[in-house]
Amino acid sequence: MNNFKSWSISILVLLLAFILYSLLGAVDPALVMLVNPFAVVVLLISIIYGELGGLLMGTAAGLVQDAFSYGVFGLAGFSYIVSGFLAGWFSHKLNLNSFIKRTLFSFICSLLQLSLWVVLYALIFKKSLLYSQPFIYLQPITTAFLVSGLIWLFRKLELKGEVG
Amino acid sequence: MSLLRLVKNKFFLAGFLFLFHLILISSQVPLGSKQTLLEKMAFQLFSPVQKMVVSGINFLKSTHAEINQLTFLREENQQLKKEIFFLAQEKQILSRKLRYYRSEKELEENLAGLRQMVIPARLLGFETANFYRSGVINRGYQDRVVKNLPVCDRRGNLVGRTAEPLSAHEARVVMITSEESGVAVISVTDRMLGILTGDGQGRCLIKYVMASSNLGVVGDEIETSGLDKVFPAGIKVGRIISIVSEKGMFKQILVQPYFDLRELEVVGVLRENVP
Repeated sequence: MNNFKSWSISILVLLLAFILYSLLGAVDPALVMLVNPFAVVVLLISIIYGELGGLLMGTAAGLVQDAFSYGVFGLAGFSYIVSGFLAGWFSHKLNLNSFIKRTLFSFICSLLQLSLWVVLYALIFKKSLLYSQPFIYLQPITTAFLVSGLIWLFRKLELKGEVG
Repeated sequence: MSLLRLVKNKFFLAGFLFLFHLILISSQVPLGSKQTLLEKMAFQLFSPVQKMVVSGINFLKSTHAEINQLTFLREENQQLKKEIFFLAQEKQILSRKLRYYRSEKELEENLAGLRQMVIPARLLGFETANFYRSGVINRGYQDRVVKNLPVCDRRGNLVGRTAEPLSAHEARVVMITSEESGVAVISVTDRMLGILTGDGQGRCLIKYVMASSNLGVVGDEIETSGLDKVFPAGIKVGRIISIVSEKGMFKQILVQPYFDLRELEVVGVLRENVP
């Protein structure tokens, strides 16, 4: 997260995530539970730019998500910074060049983020999200595939840019 | 070590952000605290984007619907012309009858008053964690929206109440299907009183009806009683779908609300208690 380009990409990705979140909510509110664009961007930026990027994107995406929810402000941000930091930390120590490895890694990180969020939510609200939202079980899978696919696309575009 | 180098240190930043979030969360517990300045800032920064997206989708939807309807327009037009003719006749008869009861001026004044009581609003989005809990509407304090105003769907069924407005043109709606909601209700047939709260899964529960009570019929309609001084009496809420008396001291009465989440594009905020 050192140069202007990476900052611009991060801001653009967050904006796109918010547009996708608004779109999904307008089409069918249940889709917001199935595809969480904020979780996707946090993992995406963490894997591409490392733990520092993950921390900053986790804070920004979490605060935006919480601003549009009726609850405790900072709850999503907390789960995102932990998962973002760990995803960025481990992604640079592991070999994530293949699509399957990347998907599996993203799935574990997404599961960790979701678990943390559900546990904190249950602690504060004394209510589990696991019974009310059936789509929540599929969220880590969709997040993993989206993150993996987007990283593949990002690297393709980056390579093309370098050749061009 | 300079401040910039300290900030760039990932462990320092991680610790700082971890602590920042913990302080942020702890400052809002117990629940019910006011929105923080940071929350309001984040909301106001991104709400124009959400407005644009929702407006774009609504435009596409309406354009698509208009194209579909174009083929039926001619037939419908002829039919409407006929209907207008009969309605004009009917109106003449009704106007004469109305004039008999009260003067036209008085009637117009009453109608104008009623219109001012309702603030039409568009639902911009739902909560990510649970869309049965809350949504955001495009009306705020500049549109005379304040906390605890009833919100109804286009058919007049109760949707929820407003929370404290987030900005000049945005406010949050706490739905009746939310666990945080509480509405004083009454059943239409046997006048059973109770407190309606959400189950967080799209349905509502009527609380505090004794298990020994004879009141409560499956299929009965539920409306607001007005006893909570927040919701005016007589707003339709839903229908009882099941009653369990065997478990515990109180009956477990499940209510299916009338409003449909997928049809909540436009809602009405009742500014004052409609008589």
